[in-house]
Amino acid sequence: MNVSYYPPFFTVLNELNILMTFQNLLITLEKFWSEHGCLILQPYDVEVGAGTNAPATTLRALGPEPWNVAYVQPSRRPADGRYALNPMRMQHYYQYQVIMKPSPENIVDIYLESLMALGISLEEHDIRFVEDDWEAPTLGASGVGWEVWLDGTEITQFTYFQQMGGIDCKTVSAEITYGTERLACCLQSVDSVWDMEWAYGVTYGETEKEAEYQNCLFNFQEADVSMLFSIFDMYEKESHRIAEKGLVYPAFDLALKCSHLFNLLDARGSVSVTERASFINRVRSMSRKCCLQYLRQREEMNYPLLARKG
Amino acid sequence: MANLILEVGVEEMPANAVSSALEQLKHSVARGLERCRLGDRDVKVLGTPRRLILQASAIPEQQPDQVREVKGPPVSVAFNSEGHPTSAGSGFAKKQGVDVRSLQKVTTPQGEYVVANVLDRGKPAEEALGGMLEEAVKALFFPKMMRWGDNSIRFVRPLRWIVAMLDDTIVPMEINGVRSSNQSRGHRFLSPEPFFVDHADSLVPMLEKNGVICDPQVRMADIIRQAKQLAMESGGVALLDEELLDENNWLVEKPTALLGNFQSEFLDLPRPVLVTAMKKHQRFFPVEDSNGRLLPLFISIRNGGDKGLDIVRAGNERVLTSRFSDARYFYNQDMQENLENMVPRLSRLVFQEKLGTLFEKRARLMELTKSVAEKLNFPVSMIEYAIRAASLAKADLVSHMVVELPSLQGVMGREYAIKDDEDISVADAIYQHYLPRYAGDKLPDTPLGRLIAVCDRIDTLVGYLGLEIVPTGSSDPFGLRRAAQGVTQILIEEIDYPSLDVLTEFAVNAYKNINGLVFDKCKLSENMHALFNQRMETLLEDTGIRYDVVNAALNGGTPSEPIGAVWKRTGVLQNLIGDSDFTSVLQTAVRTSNILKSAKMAGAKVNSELFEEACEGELLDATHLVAAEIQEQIDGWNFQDIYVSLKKLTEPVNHFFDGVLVMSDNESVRRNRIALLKIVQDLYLHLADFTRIV
Repeated sequence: MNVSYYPPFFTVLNELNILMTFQNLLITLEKFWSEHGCLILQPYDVEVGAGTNAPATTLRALGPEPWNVAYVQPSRRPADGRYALNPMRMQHYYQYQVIMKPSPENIVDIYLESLMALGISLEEHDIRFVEDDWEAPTLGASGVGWEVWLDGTEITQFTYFQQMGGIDCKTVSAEITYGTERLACCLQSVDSVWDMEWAYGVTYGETEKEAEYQNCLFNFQEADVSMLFSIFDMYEKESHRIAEKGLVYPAFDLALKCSHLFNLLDARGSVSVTERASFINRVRSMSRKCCLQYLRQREEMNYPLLARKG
Repeated sequence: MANLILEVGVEEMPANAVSSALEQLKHSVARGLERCRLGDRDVKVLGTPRRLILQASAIPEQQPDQVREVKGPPVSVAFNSEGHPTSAGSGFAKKQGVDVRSLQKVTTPQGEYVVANVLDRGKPAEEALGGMLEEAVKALFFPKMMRWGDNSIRFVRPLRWIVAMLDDTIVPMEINGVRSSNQSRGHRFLSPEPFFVDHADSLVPMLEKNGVICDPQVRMADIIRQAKQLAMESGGVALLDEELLDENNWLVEKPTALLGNFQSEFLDLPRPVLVTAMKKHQRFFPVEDSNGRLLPLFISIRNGGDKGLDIVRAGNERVLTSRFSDARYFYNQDMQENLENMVPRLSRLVFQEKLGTLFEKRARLMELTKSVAEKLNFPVSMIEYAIRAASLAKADLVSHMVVELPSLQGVMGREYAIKDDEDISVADAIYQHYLPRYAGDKLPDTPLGRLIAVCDRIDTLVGYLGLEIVPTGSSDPFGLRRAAQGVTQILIEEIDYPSLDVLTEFAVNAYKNINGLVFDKCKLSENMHALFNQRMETLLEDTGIRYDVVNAALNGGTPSEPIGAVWKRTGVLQNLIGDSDFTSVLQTAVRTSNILKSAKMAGAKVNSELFEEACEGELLDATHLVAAEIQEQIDGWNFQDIYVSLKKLTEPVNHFFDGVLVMSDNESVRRNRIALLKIVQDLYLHLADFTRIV
C-alpha cells in the first residue's frame, strides 16, 4: 500500500497529539479525496436521509459514465431523534459521502489510507470489515459491502451498488459513507457526540444541540400532520407531472421532499401499517421514474463523461 | 512430481461464506485433477476472510499420453471393394493425424466402421491446470453474489489477486482480468506490502511470516486458547459459544484476544440483555464466575497482533459502555410502562399484509387459545391465565428493548410480566411460546407455554396456507416448515390435544371472527396435512423408525387423531414388527386390501340375508366384536390393545377367503362380500395402512 499521503499540517498535529476536531476531520477528508481524483461537491440543498439520496449519488450511479465525487451531506432521519439525550443518536447529522465509479481496484486500500490521513495507525487499532448488505426501498436501491469497525465502533458503511431505481448497475460504484460524528468521537476519545469538539473550544453540542432538541419537538409532537399529508400529495402529483416533461432534476427533488415528508409522518406515528408500504411504493415509483428518465437522457447525450474515461 | 498451490485473494468475505466455498473448491479441484489425468490427489484447503487457499501434492509434471479411439465412416465408405482406401477413408485418417493403414474396424449395431487410434500427447501439468482451476473458482457458489468495477462476473466480493504455482512455476490463469502470478499479500495492517513467492511450498509459511494464519483450525484453537487463558487469569470462565467462535474466526487473519471491563453497575440489567449486546452487537465473549454469574468483563478477538492493544481495549470498552447505556435507557423506559399498555401499539406492526397486524394476531391467538384450553378441559382459572398469556405474548415486540434487540423477544416479555406481577405461569408462557426457536432448541416445559406455542404457530400456518403461501423446495421464507416442526415436536407427548383438523378449524374460525377472512377449507386442510406429514416423516425417521413403517402409520389412523397419538401409533407399530403374530396379521390385512383394490366398487351396506356360507356370518360377528373393542381403546389411544383385538380378525378373515369366492357371479352377493371386507379393512386402518409395509 502506498502510505506516502500525509498532509504535513495534520502530521504535525498528530505528532503533537493535538485533537482532531470535527472541522479538521472534514477538511482532511476533503483534501484526501480531492487528491485521489474526486470532485469535491457541496452538500445538496434538499432534506435527505443520507448522502446516497442526493442526485450526485442516486442519479449519477446509473449508467456507464465514470463519476468520482466526495461531499459532506447533512442528513435528516426524524425517527432517530432522541431529544439530544442520547450520546450517539440524532435526527440530524453530517455524513461524508464518497462515490467512485467504476469502483477502483484498490478502493479498500485508498479508504484505509484515508483513515491514516485522519491520524489512525492501522496497526495500533482493530479494523474489521463486517458483512453488511444494504437496501433503500424508497430508492429501489441495494448493495453489498461492509460495516467498517474501528475498535468495535461502526465508523463507515462501504457499499458496492448493485441496483438503483430498480435498475441493475452494470458499472458498479463504490460508495463510502463515513459517520463523521462517530469517527470524531473515536479520535477525540469522547463518549458523547455533544462533548466532541467541532473546533478548538467549541463543542458539537454548542453548535447543534438546541436545534436538535427543537427539531425533535417538531418531528415527534408538533408537526401538522394533515398539512404534511396534503403537501405530500401535491409534491407527488407535481413530481410525476414534470417527470413526464423530462424535467428529471426538479422531479427528483420533489421525490426527495416526499421521502422526507413520509419520514416526518412516520416519526409522528401517523402512518398506519397498511399506509406505510403504500407510501414507500409511492416514493419508489417517483424515484424510479426519474432514474429511468435520467438514463435515457444521458444515453441521448451520448454519455458525455464517458469520453474522459482513462 | 510437483506441488500445487492456489491462492484466491478476495476482499473481506462474509463470515458465513468461506467454509462452504473451501469445501466446494476442494471437491471440484479433486475432480478436475482426475479429469486432467493428473491423478486423484488429496487436496487440502485453507482459508481466511481474505483468501481461499488450495494445496495438492505430488502432481505429475506432465499429463500421461493417452490413446483415444475416434470413430470414422463405415468401412464400406472408407474402403473400396478391393480393400483400398477411398478419399473418404484417407481424408479421415489425415484429419486425425494417423496413417491410413493404421485404421481399424469395429463392429457396431449399425454396421462395420473404421476407427482411428489417436495419440494425445500429455501437456505439461501447468498448462493443463490453468483452465481447470479457472473453472473451479468461477463455479463457486455463494448465497449472495455481487458485481464490481466494470466487470461482468459475479463473485462473493471483489476478487483481487491470484497466486497459482506448481513448485516454482506460475500456473497461467486469468479470471476477470486478474492474472495469476507469484505475488501475494500479507495481513492488511501487519504487513501491507505485497511479496513474492518463490515456490508453491513457501506460500503458507510466508503468509505466516506476514501475519496471516491460513489454517482455520489453527486460528480457532488459538482463539480458544487465548480466550480461556484470559478468562482464567481473571478468575472466570469465558462463554465460548460455538457460533460466535466461528464468526470471530472468519473475521480475523490473526487473532489476538483481549480482556476488557465494564462498570459493574450494568450488572443490574437482565443477563440476556447484557449477553445479547456483547455477543450480537460486538461479537464479544461474556465471562462468568464459577457460580455462573456474569462478571463485568468481556473478551474481544482483535484482527492483528499485540500492538496498540490498550487503544483497542479502550475503544471496545467505550463502545460497550455506550451499548449498555442505550440498553439501560430502553430498559428504564420500558419499566415505566406495563406490558398491557404496550398492546395497542401492536397495531403498528404488520404480521402479514393480508392477515393483518400483530394486534389482530393477538386477538386471534386469544380466541384460539381459549378454544383449545377448553377442549383440553383446563380448570377455569388456568383457562384465564392462558388467555392472559395469549393477550400479552406479543406485547414486548413494541417495547424499546426488543425493537433494539429483536432476539430478546419473549425474554423481555417475561421480565416485564414478572415486574407487572403477572402470574408466573403467564410470564413463563410469554417466554416459552417462542420455543423451539431453531433445530435442537429446548421445548416449552409448562402447560401454558406449550399451549401458546402451539396456538401461535397454528395461527401462522393456517393464515399462510389459507392464502396458499406454501413452502416450496428449499424456499421457506416465512419459516412455515419450522413452525409445523415446532408444533409436532411439542405435541408428540401430548396425547390429549385435539387433532390437527380440530386445531385448524378453531384457527379458521378466529380468522373469520377477527379478520372476516374465509379460507377454502378443503385446500387448507390438504396443505396442512401435507406439511405436517412431511415434518412427522422427518422427525419419525430421525428416531430410527423404518421408512415403510412411518409410511404405513401416516397413511392409517383416524382423522380425529391428535399428533401425539399418531406418534405413539407409529412407535407401537415399529415394536409390533417383532411380534410372532405380526406376519399373519399383515398378510390378512394386505390380502383384504388387494381384493378391494381389484374390485373397485363402492361398498354397499352388509346384508346378512345374502350370506351363503357360515364363514360370512362368522366374519361379520368378528368385525362387530373387534369394532366394539377398538371403540373402547381408541379414546386412550391404546394401540397395543387395538392390535390384540385386530388379531382376532385373522382366523375369520382367512376362513372367509377359504370358504367363499369374493368375486361371485351373483352381483348382489359380490357387492355384499366386498362391503364386508371394506369393514374389515377400515378396522385394520385404525392401526396402519399395512399395504405400505415392505
